[in-house]
Amino acid sequence: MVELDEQQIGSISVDIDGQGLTYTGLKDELLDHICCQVELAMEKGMTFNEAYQHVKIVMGRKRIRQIQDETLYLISKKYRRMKRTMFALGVLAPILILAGLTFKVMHWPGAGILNTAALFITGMIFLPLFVMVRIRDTRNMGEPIPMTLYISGMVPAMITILGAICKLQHWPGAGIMLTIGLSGLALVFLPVFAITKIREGKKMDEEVNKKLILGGVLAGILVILGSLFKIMHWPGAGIVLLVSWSLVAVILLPLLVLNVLKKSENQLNNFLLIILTAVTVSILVLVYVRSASREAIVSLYFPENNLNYNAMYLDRQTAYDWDDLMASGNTEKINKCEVLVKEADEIKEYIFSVKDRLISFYEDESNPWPYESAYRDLLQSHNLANDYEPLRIIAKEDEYRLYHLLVSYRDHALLLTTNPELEKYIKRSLVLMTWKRETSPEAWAEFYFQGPTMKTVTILSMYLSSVKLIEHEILTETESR
Amino acid sequence: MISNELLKGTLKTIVLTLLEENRRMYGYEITREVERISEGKIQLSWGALYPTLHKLESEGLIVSESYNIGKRVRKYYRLTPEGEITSRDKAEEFREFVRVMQQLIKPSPGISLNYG
Repeated sequence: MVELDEQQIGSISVDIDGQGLTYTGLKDELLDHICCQVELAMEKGMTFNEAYQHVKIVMGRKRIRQIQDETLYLISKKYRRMKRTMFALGVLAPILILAGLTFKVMHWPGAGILNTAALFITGMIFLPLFVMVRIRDTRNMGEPIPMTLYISGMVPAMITILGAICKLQHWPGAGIMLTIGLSGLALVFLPVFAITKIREGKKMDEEVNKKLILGGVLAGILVILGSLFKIMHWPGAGIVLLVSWSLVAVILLPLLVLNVLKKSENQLNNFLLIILTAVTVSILVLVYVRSASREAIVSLYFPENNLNYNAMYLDRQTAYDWDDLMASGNTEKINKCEVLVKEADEIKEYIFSVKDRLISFYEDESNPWPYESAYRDLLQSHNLANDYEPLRIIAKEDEYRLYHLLVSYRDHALLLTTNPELEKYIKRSLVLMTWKRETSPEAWAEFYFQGPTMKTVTILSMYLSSVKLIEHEILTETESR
Repeated sequence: MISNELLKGTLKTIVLTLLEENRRMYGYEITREVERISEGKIQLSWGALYPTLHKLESEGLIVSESYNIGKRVRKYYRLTPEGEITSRDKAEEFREFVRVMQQLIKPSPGISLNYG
């Protein structure tokens, strides 16, 4: 029985490689097959060269590539379907997010569903598919699979996206999921990513831009942590975000673009990069759009920022306050106004504290119902038996403190002014009446504070404006006398 | 010689049946065995055989083991428990197919084509 020697096997092996056989699972057995046939031919009396030429003619020269293509085609039907789905979803998700943003900006219904669907598709379908495709690709090329990298990236990313969905839908648990997910991305995935990339580069003897990787990872960690702080309303978010985005915009982005342009062979990674950028930008815009409604409350919370209020002072050019009166050194006038100013300050402090409590109440995710927002709030307002937040604070918790403060302030103010117009304004603006009748604190509180929170916040601001305006008018009047 | 056209749909059945009878085989052995049993009437092309073997492996019907034989590696295939079941099903299905084909091509006198 003839058996080929090492050199003969080697020459056949080199020949096969030359025909473009790259799928490692196939090579050994095709080599074995050819060897067997050559051996058979040699047993019939041919030399090795004759036998190999004969076998090659019988088999046809192109066959090896075809066998490989056919094999890969047959065993990868599922994979191809997966890859197609992945690309389709990767394109669909950013489109959905942008559509959702458009709907949101235009105040059309359905924005929430679009965004939730987009996030769900990105996180729960696209991401796992992408990782599976990557694993398959790596395995087919016979390279080791960086499982740690994939898992440490995929799991926190999925948790983050789930958290984002919960946040958008006002479901409980958003905070904890976002915290875990984003921390995981920043503190586990990105370091693992940097280590893997640098080690990979060393192994393949490639020139790796170490500075780019480290800088990118550092910026990434800062951006993610900054976003986390911002989302969770923890202190320090502003400075972290400022530093990290500056780092990204000024240094990293130009470097990255240059690097990608330099080597454009890895299409799959470039595709992911584009998709991720699109999603990130979309989410950022989304965050800003969402925070707009919050700013409306904040501007009420700081009435000094209120344009009308400032414009009133600027217009009359007679801004006058307690400090000016104190500086004048007129003891008689100072004594006269001291109580009024103190009371005005007290009301101001008090209204700030009520707004503070209201806002923190509505920010607190452990409260189940306020997150259903103004609509639910409005429904509640028609059900007088229901306890709800502004009324509960002002009436029950603080025992109508605002009412008593305002009454006391009004009475003092009326004593201090001789201007009939101002008297009228004081009586009308510090409205403690319902339907033009003076009523009890209970009726007053129910009338003004048993409404949607937005309404009661506005009323609180109006009281504050009136109190300050009256204070200003009286101080000015006292000074000029 | 039996044409490749006819063999196409039965290649899986042939491979599974052979593996059921022989416990473990490698690719070249399968082509030789088919040639021997069919007395040279069926010559499996390796271009059809190896993709089929890999397909069966990816479906979990067969598993492969590699051994060093002299200076080279030889890859043996054998059935998985699931493959054994599929093998029997496929064989039964094929016997049924042959029976029906015989009826179709040479209708037996017992079958009446008159539905009236």
